[in-house]
Amino acid sequence: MIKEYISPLELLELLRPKIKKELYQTDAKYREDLEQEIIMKILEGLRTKKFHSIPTFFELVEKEKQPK
Amino acid sequence: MIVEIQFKNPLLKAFLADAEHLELYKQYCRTPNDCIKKMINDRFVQFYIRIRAVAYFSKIIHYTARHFDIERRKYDQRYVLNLDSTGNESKNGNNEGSITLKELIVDESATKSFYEQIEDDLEQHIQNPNLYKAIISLNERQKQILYLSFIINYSDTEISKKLNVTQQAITKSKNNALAKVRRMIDA
Repeated sequence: MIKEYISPLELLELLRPKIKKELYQTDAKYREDLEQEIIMKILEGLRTKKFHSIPTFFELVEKEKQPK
Repeated sequence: MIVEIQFKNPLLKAFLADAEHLELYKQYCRTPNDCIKKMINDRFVQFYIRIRAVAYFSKIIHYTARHFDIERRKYDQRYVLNLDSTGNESKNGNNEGSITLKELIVDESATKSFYEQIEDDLEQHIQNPNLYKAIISLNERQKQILYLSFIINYSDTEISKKLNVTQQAITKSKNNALAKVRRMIDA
Protein backbone atom coordinates (compact mmCIF):
# COMPACT_ATOMS: atom_id res chain seq x y z
CA MET A 1 0.00 0.00 0.00
CA ILE A 2 1.18 3.46 -0.84
CA LYS A 3 0.14 4.78 2.55
CA GLU A 4 2.87 2.81 4.29
CA TYR A 5 5.55 4.59 2.34
CA ILE A 6 4.31 8.12 2.02
CA SER A 7 1.90 10.09 4.16
CA PRO A 8 -1.16 11.55 2.40
CA LEU A 9 -0.29 15.06 3.50
CA GLU A 10 3.22 14.78 2.19
CA LEU A 11 1.93 13.45 -1.11
CA LEU A 12 -0.59 16.27 -1.43
CA GLU A 13 2.19 18.74 -0.77
CA LEU A 14 4.28 17.15 -3.52
CA LEU A 15 1.34 17.30 -5.92
CA ARG A 16 0.30 20.84 -5.04
CA PRO A 17 1.97 22.54 -8.07
CA LYS A 18 0.38 20.04 -10.43
CA ILE A 19 -3.06 20.58 -8.93
CA LYS A 20 -2.66 24.35 -9.22
CA LYS A 21 -1.70 24.06 -12.84
CA GLU A 22 -4.74 21.97 -13.67
CA LEU A 23 -7.04 24.32 -11.76
CA TYR A 24 -6.11 27.17 -14.07
CA GLN A 25 -7.61 25.49 -17.11
CA THR A 26 -11.13 25.68 -15.71
CA ASP A 27 -13.40 28.63 -15.04
CA ALA A 28 -12.49 30.69 -11.97
CA LYS A 29 -15.79 30.07 -10.23
CA TYR A 30 -15.42 26.29 -10.47
CA ARG A 31 -11.86 26.09 -9.21
CA GLU A 32 -12.73 25.31 -5.62
CA ASP A 33 -15.08 22.54 -6.68
CA LEU A 34 -12.45 21.04 -8.90
CA GLU A 35 -9.82 21.21 -6.18
CA GLN A 36 -12.06 19.28 -3.83
CA GLU A 37 -12.80 16.75 -6.52
CA ILE A 38 -9.11 16.24 -7.19
CA ILE A 39 -8.19 15.84 -3.54
CA MET A 40 -11.02 13.36 -3.12
CA LYS A 41 -9.73 11.36 -6.07
CA ILE A 42 -6.22 11.34 -4.64
CA LEU A 43 -7.35 10.13 -1.22
CA GLU A 44 -9.44 7.48 -2.89
CA GLY A 45 -6.45 6.39 -4.94
CA LEU A 46 -4.28 6.24 -1.84
CA ARG A 47 -6.69 3.77 -0.32
CA THR A 48 -7.05 1.50 -3.29
CA LYS A 49 -4.00 1.75 -5.53
CA LYS A 50 -1.28 -0.87 -5.29
CA PHE A 51 1.91 -0.85 -7.34
CA HIS A 52 2.95 -4.22 -8.62
CA SER A 53 6.37 -5.46 -9.62
CA ILE A 54 8.50 -3.12 -7.58
CA PRO A 55 12.13 -3.79 -8.49
CA THR A 56 14.73 -4.03 -5.74
CA PHE A 57 17.79 -1.89 -5.79
CA PHE A 58 20.15 -4.80 -6.33
CA GLU A 59 18.14 -6.19 -9.22
CA LEU A 60 18.63 -2.92 -11.04
CA VAL A 61 22.31 -2.88 -10.17
CA GLU A 62 22.71 -6.41 -11.53
CA LYS A 63 20.94 -5.44 -14.73
CA GLU A 64 23.25 -2.50 -15.12
CA LYS A 65 26.30 -4.73 -14.82
CA GLN A 66 25.17 -7.14 -17.50
CA PRO A 67 26.81 -6.51 -20.86
CA LYS A 68 24.35 -5.15 -23.38
CA MET B 1 38.57 0.29 -2.88
CA ILE B 2 36.98 2.43 -5.57
CA VAL B 3 33.23 2.21 -5.72
CA GLU B 4 31.62 2.00 -9.13
CA ILE B 5 28.79 4.49 -9.05
CA GLN B 6 28.44 5.39 -12.70
CA PHE B 7 24.99 3.99 -13.41
CA LYS B 8 23.07 4.67 -16.57
CA ASN B 9 19.65 3.75 -15.19
CA PRO B 10 17.99 7.08 -14.30
CA LEU B 11 16.29 5.51 -11.30
CA LEU B 12 19.57 4.38 -9.80
CA LYS B 13 21.20 7.70 -10.63
CA ALA B 14 18.45 9.64 -8.92
CA PHE B 15 18.48 7.32 -5.94
CA LEU B 16 22.20 7.66 -5.42
CA ALA B 17 22.08 11.41 -5.94
CA ASP B 18 20.97 11.50 -2.31
CA ALA B 19 24.14 11.67 -0.22
CA GLU B 20 22.73 9.41 2.47
CA HIS B 21 21.85 6.70 -0.05
CA LEU B 22 25.23 7.01 -1.70
CA GLU B 23 26.98 6.64 1.64
CA LEU B 24 25.00 3.50 2.41
CA TYR B 25 25.82 2.03 -0.96
CA LYS B 26 29.52 2.79 -0.62
CA GLN B 27 29.49 1.18 2.77
CA TYR B 28 27.85 -1.87 1.31
CA CYS B 29 30.41 -2.15 -1.47
CA ARG B 30 33.21 -1.98 1.06
CA THR B 31 31.69 -4.45 3.49
CA PRO B 32 28.73 -6.30 2.05
CA ASN B 33 26.39 -7.53 4.74
CA ASP B 34 22.70 -8.31 4.96
CA CYS B 35 21.90 -5.54 7.39
CA ILE B 36 23.03 -2.76 5.07
CA LYS B 37 21.54 -4.54 2.11
CA LYS B 38 18.17 -4.61 3.80
CA MET B 39 18.46 -0.94 4.69
CA ILE B 40 19.28 -0.01 1.12
CA ASN B 41 16.40 -2.09 -0.16
CA ASP B 42 13.97 -0.46 2.25
CA ARG B 43 15.14 3.00 1.29
CA PHE B 44 14.92 2.15 -2.34
CA VAL B 45 11.36 0.87 -2.13
CA GLN B 46 10.32 4.03 -0.37
CA PHE B 47 12.10 6.18 -2.92
CA TYR B 48 10.63 4.19 -5.78
CA ILE B 49 7.07 4.29 -4.52
CA ARG B 50 7.21 8.04 -4.03
CA ILE B 51 8.15 8.51 -7.65
CA ARG B 52 5.51 6.07 -8.86
CA ALA B 53 2.89 7.72 -6.65
CA VAL B 54 3.65 11.22 -7.89
CA ALA B 55 3.57 10.07 -11.51
CA TYR B 56 0.39 8.10 -10.98
CA PHE B 57 -1.45 10.86 -9.16
CA SER B 58 -0.31 13.50 -11.62
CA LYS B 59 -2.17 11.57 -14.25
CA ILE B 60 -5.18 11.18 -11.97
CA ILE B 61 -5.22 14.94 -11.39
CA HIS B 62 -5.03 15.65 -15.09
CA TYR B 63 -7.87 13.31 -16.00
CA THR B 64 -10.00 14.40 -13.07
CA ALA B 65 -9.68 18.01 -14.23
CA ARG B 66 -10.57 17.12 -17.80
CA HIS B 67 -13.47 14.96 -16.74
CA PHE B 68 -14.71 17.71 -14.45
CA ASP B 69 -14.73 20.23 -17.29
CA ILE B 70 -16.54 17.88 -19.63
CA GLU B 71 -19.19 17.13 -17.04
CA ARG B 72 -19.63 20.78 -16.20
CA ARG B 73 -20.05 21.73 -19.86
CA LYS B 74 -22.58 18.96 -20.30
CA TYR B 75 -24.47 20.22 -17.27
CA ASP B 76 -24.40 23.81 -18.51
CA GLN B 77 -25.76 22.72 -21.86
CA ARG B 78 -28.60 20.74 -20.37
CA TYR B 79 -29.61 23.19 -17.72
CA VAL B 80 -29.30 26.52 -19.44
CA LEU B 81 -29.36 29.42 -17.03
CA ASN B 82 -29.51 32.23 -19.59
CA LEU B 83 -32.48 33.80 -17.89
CA ASP B 84 -30.81 33.77 -14.49
CA SER B 85 -27.79 35.64 -15.75
CA THR B 86 -27.71 39.38 -15.58
CA GLY B 87 -27.68 41.17 -18.90
CA ASN B 88 -24.25 42.66 -18.48
CA GLU B 89 -22.09 39.80 -17.31
CA SER B 90 -20.42 41.17 -14.20
CA LYS B 91 -17.63 38.90 -13.18
CA ASN B 92 -16.89 40.19 -9.73
CA GLY B 93 -19.76 38.09 -8.43
CA ASN B 94 -21.51 41.06 -6.87
CA ASN B 95 -24.85 40.64 -8.58
CA GLU B 96 -27.00 41.71 -5.70
CA GLY B 97 -29.78 43.98 -6.81
CA SER B 98 -29.10 43.77 -10.51
CA ILE B 99 -31.86 42.62 -12.82
CA THR B 100 -31.81 39.13 -14.26
CA LEU B 101 -33.09 38.54 -17.76
CA LYS B 102 -36.10 36.57 -16.61
CA GLU B 103 -37.44 39.67 -14.91
CA LEU B 104 -37.50 41.47 -18.24
CA ILE B 105 -39.82 39.02 -19.97
CA VAL B 106 -43.16 40.53 -20.90
CA ASP B 107 -46.11 38.56 -19.63
CA GLU B 108 -48.14 38.34 -22.80
CA SER B 109 -50.94 36.46 -21.11
CA ALA B 110 -51.60 39.41 -18.82
CA THR B 111 -54.88 40.92 -20.00
CA LYS B 112 -53.85 44.47 -19.27
CA SER B 113 -50.39 45.90 -19.49
CA PHE B 114 -49.07 48.53 -17.15
CA TYR B 115 -49.76 51.37 -19.57
CA GLU B 116 -53.36 50.39 -20.12
CA GLN B 117 -54.09 50.32 -16.43
CA ILE B 118 -53.45 54.00 -16.22
CA GLU B 119 -56.74 55.74 -16.76
CA ASP B 120 -55.94 57.39 -19.99
CA ASP B 121 -57.77 58.24 -23.16
CA LEU B 122 -56.63 59.02 -26.63
CA GLU B 123 -58.26 62.44 -26.68
CA GLN B 124 -56.25 63.55 -23.66
CA HIS B 125 -53.18 63.45 -25.82
CA ILE B 126 -54.61 65.72 -28.50
CA GLN B 127 -53.85 69.43 -28.58
CA ASN B 128 -55.16 70.48 -31.96
CA PRO B 129 -58.88 71.39 -31.52
CA ASN B 130 -59.91 70.22 -35.00
CA LEU B 131 -58.21 66.89 -34.47
CA TYR B 132 -59.78 66.63 -31.02
CA LYS B 133 -63.27 67.03 -32.46
CA ALA B 134 -62.56 64.38 -35.06
CA ILE B 135 -61.20 61.98 -32.46
CA ILE B 136 -64.11 62.18 -30.05
CA SER B 137 -66.49 61.35 -32.87
CA LEU B 138 -64.83 57.94 -33.27
CA ASN B 139 -66.34 54.95 -31.56
CA GLU B 140 -64.72 53.30 -28.53
CA ARG B 141 -63.08 50.49 -30.43
CA GLN B 142 -61.48 52.79 -32.99
CA LYS B 143 -60.21 55.03 -30.23
CA GLN B 144 -58.77 52.05 -28.41
CA ILE B 145 -56.95 50.87 -31.51
CA LEU B 146 -55.54 54.30 -32.28
CA TYR B 147 -54.49 54.68 -28.66
CA LEU B 148 -52.64 51.37 -28.60
CA SER B 149 -51.12 52.04 -31.96
CA PHE B 150 -49.92 55.63 -31.61
CA ILE B 151 -49.57 56.33 -27.89
CA ILE B 152 -48.24 52.99 -26.69
CA ASN B 153 -46.62 52.22 -30.02
CA TYR B 154 -47.83 48.65 -30.39
CA SER B 155 -47.66 47.02 -33.79
CA ASP B 156 -50.88 45.87 -35.45
CA THR B 157 -49.95 42.30 -34.68
CA GLU B 158 -49.51 43.04 -30.98
CA ILE B 159 -52.84 44.83 -30.84
CA SER B 160 -54.55 41.94 -32.59
CA LYS B 161 -53.18 39.53 -29.99
CA LYS B 162 -54.43 41.74 -27.22
CA LEU B 163 -57.93 42.15 -28.63
CA ASN B 164 -58.15 38.58 -29.85
CA VAL B 165 -58.86 39.37 -33.48
CA THR B 166 -56.81 39.00 -36.64
CA GLN B 167 -54.11 41.46 -37.53
CA GLN B 168 -55.92 42.22 -40.81
CA ALA B 169 -58.99 43.32 -38.89
CA ILE B 170 -56.91 45.70 -36.79
CA THR B 171 -55.16 47.17 -39.83
CA LYS B 172 -58.48 47.61 -41.54
CA SER B 173 -60.25 49.36 -38.68
CA LYS B 174 -57.18 51.48 -38.01
CA ASN B 175 -57.13 52.63 -41.61
CA ASN B 176 -60.87 53.27 -41.49
CA ALA B 177 -60.46 55.35 -38.34
CA LEU B 178 -57.61 57.35 -39.84
CA ALA B 179 -59.61 57.93 -43.03
CA LYS B 180 -62.54 59.12 -40.99
CA VAL B 181 -60.38 61.50 -38.98
CA ARG B 182 -58.85 62.88 -42.18
CA ARG B 183 -62.34 63.41 -43.70
CA MET B 184 -63.47 65.26 -40.57
CA ILE B 185 -60.42 67.53 -40.55
CA ASP B 186 -60.65 68.28 -44.26
CA ALA B 187 -64.36 69.01 -44.06
